[in-house]
Amino acid sequence: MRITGTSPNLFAMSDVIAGQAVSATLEITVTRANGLVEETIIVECAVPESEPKEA
Amino acid sequence: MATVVTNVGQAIPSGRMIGATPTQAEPKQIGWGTSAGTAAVADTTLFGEKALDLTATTGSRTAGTSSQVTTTLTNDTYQVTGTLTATGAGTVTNAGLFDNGTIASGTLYVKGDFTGIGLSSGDSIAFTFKVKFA
Repeated sequence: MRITGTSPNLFAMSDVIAGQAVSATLEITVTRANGLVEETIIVECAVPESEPKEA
Repeated sequence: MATVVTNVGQAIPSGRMIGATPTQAEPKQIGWGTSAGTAAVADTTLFGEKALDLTATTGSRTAGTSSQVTTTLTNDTYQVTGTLTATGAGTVTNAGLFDNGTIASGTLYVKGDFTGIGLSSGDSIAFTFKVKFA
């Protein structure tokens, strides 16, 4: 993949993944100083403003 | 709550396409912030970005570990993972990926906000950012 590494190992444009990024997620796990793992949160991609939203 | 690829971040993948050693740096520097807000594509900064010391507004971001992972099709997703351990207390509300390791520098690629998490010194958050390409 062209986005990872200092010298990406994917060279041929014909092999490059087409299109734009369409979704993003963020996962979070909190660990306290005493080692207690508290919670995991997953935040999904937002609905684009151009798309209809549920009433 | 939302996680978005920012408008300015949309230029990063195309910049990475050019050359054997692209001048566009990889967006794997993890930052976090303590101010309120909902992530939007027009954003160029985090909400109240802080250092590992959550009372400090200057310093370095944390370099994440990047990889390709599979969401739907083989290797269709760019993933960055990293753990930030607070050295000063605060409430973390948002985080993002940048192409520069210095706070207040670089281009924001991905940003996500969430319900504030109060951290004391020594507490940590493990982040996993995923951007899926079509």
